Amino acid sequence: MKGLKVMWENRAKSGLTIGLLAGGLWALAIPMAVDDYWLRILTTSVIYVVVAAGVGLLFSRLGIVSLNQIALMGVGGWVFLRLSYLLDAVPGMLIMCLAGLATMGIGVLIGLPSLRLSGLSLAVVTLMFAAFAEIVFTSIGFPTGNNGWRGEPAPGETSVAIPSPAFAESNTGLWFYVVITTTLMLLLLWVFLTGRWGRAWAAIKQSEPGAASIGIHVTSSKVTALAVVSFTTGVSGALLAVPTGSLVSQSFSAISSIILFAVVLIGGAFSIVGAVLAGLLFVALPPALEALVARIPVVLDLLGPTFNNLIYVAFGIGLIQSLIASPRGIAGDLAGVGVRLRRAQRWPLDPSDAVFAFSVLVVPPLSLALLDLSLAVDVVAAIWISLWLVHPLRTLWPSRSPRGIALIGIAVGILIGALGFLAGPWICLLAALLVVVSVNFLRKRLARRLVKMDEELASEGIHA
Amino acid sequence: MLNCKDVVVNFGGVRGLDGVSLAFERGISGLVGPNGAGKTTMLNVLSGFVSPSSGRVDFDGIDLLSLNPAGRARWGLRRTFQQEQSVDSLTVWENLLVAAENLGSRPADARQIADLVGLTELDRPVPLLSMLERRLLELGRTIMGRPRILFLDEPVAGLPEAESLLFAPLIEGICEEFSLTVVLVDHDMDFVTRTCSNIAVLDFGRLIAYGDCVSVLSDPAVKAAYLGVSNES
Amino acid sequence: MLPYVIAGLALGALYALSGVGLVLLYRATGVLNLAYGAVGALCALVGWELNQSRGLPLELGILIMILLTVTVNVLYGVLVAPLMAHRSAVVQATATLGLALACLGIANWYWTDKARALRLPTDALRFEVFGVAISSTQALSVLLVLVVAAVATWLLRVTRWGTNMRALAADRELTSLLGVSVRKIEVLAWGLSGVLAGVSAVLLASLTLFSAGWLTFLVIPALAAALVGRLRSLWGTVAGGITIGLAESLLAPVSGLAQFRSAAPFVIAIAVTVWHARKRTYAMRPSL
Repeated sequence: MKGLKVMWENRAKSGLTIGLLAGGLWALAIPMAVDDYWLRILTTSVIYVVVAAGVGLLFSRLGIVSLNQIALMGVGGWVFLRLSYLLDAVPGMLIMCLAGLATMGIGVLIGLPSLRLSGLSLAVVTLMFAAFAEIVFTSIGFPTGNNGWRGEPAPGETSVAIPSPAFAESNTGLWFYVVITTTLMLLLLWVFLTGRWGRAWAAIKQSEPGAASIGIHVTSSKVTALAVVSFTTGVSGALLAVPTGSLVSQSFSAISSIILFAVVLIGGAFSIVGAVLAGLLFVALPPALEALVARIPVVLDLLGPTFNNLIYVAFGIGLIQSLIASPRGIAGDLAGVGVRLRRAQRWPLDPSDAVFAFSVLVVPPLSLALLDLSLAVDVVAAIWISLWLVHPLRTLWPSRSPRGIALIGIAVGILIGALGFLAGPWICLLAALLVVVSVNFLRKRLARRLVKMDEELASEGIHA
Repeated sequence: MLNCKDVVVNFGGVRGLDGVSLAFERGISGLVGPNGAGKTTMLNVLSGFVSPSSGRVDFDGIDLLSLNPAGRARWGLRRTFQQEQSVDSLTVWENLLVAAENLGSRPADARQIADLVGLTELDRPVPLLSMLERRLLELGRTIMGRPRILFLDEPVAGLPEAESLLFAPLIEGICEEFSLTVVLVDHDMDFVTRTCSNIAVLDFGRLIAYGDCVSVLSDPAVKAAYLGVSNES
Repeated sequence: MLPYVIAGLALGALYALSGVGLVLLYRATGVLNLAYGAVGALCALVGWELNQSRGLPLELGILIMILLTVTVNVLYGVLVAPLMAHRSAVVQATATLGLALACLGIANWYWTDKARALRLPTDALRFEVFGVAISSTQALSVLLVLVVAAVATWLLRVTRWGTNMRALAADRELTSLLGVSVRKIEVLAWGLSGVLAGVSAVLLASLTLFSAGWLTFLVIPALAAALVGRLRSLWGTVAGGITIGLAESLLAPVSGLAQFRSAAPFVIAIAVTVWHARKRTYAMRPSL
């Protein structure tokens, strides 16, 4: 019995320890590496990670498509602002929980009738709620500290912003405030996922009749999932109000809920890493692209000032592609990394797994913290290329010794790092991409040649 | 005693069940009949997945039709499906745990059930199991908590003869240990005659025979209807 | 009051027309096309661009708008939709959201979200009924939806094409095994739906707002209308659409609620959903 407990806990807890460790390291390193502008953007990205994780949970574990998460964020933010003005003395975290509870109520209320009908009707109803919420938020706005149930200033009065909590005054303080709250929300989701509810959800996804036949109340379980996700989403909405003490209705448009769903699927609906990628795609990609294009004016001339909209074309295509081919998203493609990281926790330690874990988990945040950004990118790219090359090189040259392979990998890594040092991080990344593409091309050619050789041998065997 | 009276099920214009009245006592009974006779429909009505157009189903006076499928399962009416429903993304142990958690049982009891049905490798993910282990897991999940009635829908389908021979004593043992009413739905007449004391025969949604094995098998009406494959020549 | 009723009827007729297009496609292919408005919006903008900057006559521009909508719909239905034909209805509908995003992205990139004006030739012809001026565009909308609903109901019930379409939605593989040309029916279904989408987009752009974002989200009232018809009944959809249009229009003069009148589709849809969920018993058929 004890052996069972230990074995089962290992599966879940090892993922948790790695996640917390990695997250902690990155959280500490990032404020040291980026400037205020980017820190604010990354802070907002982290807020959206929880929302993305909720959307991902509903889709991956229960097949539920919920298209109103941004609107629910708005609800959470609205309640948070209104209560903050109303309840002066109450600590912010408590008000956030109240906002979460209110959002939970609304999320369940909307979803409940549709849950008993079909997944399609839930998707449609949540889409309609998103549009409805956009109208409502545009009409009544967000509370700004004055009296009346809407908290809107009367003509002539000025609006008041709620004060930030003391330790969130600075950008770095805000970063840690958001990271800690987000981690708590993600832990809440994790507890549900690895506990009895997660197992019931897995049974429901496998087969609803099968789940009912072992006593699972299917609708109640789905409602629970909806409730938990709505709660965390509401808290995230409240978090959104903390930096400036106010919210604008443009942040909660109906189309943004659709975009969020698309990026969740592209990043990966099945894991936290996917949610992180989704948050980054949703918040950080547009400004990053603008910064990039600003350096290449010819693109601006070609595409015009509205080029950012083309991101949505990519998201739309990406959504369709993930639904057809890669349900686990980009995070799924990186899943092998996760497996090796988990192995690195076991004792006795396999040296190559340890090196791998160190290079993937520790080196990036360390470089970000200690070096300047472009140098850090060079170092990380160099190390990751060397690690990545090991496996493909071994398939291409099976006769070479492992040491020889490692040396080649390290040499290429150093070359790429040096290139980055001389010509800048973008060239470095480009070179790394080139290496990856050409090696993959060689592997494909080799695979095709092997197949041809097999066919020739087979036909010779027949004629012999 | 499980009692059904005048159960009628309409699927559009087709009568799935046409006024079937059955009574199953403690012990193992069989429910057989040619394809399309209504065996699975009867099972679905009893377990709550299909609502009968008319009729009553009760057990020792308790009206079962007022409960939904999950409610009936928690009360003690368990069933298996033709395609077994173990959760692929969980391990054997987690599958048993889900059943235990939702049928009012504790993890310690789940461990006992695992021993009872003979499941040893508990941390194997379900997709790696053999058919026998899957069937055993399915059986284990149905007897979690306090089972009262067990419906087994082709419990040995997909198993070779040698492995299916394990099941008869296992089911008999479980039936005795928990004092269950077990109803076996199957095509394999050898398996049915070996395990069951009573057999009910359905054909075209009607009950055409009910009684002990010997008298049912020699009933001319039953012989006229297609009985299913006998493994003897 | 009467002008609001007329406006509501015309608007509702267009919601109903879009709804009918949605339901037809859903009944024939099992796909609820959430990109219904977005594709129409993009193609309408292209047609408008050709008319405004290249000097193409307006009638030709409108024809191109409709043809383009049909083309995009058919291309999606033939190239992309079959790749997911075996998945659940939710997944297939969600994929159309990707199409909607892509169309909206292109539209906002090239034309931005600025509202434009689309003046149809029928706008100019007006006639009087009970002292209220009605544009022939509005009259056309109402007439169109009635004709289309009648023809479509007949098509689905009586002709062989209709039966084949219904079979296709039920089971694609089985239908192809029966010797029915699945490709041809899909083209027909997506094409018909595309025609209705293009026509509704043009008329809605003229009657309401001509901007990509607005037209995209006019799929919401269309969906609400389709839900009233339970995604099955064409006449139910028509009734739903007209009710929603009337509700929106009649709220316009009401001072407190006017700003919320675009929420009418959601309220009606939720009411319909709650009603259906109430009546539904808990008997599930295990699909085993």
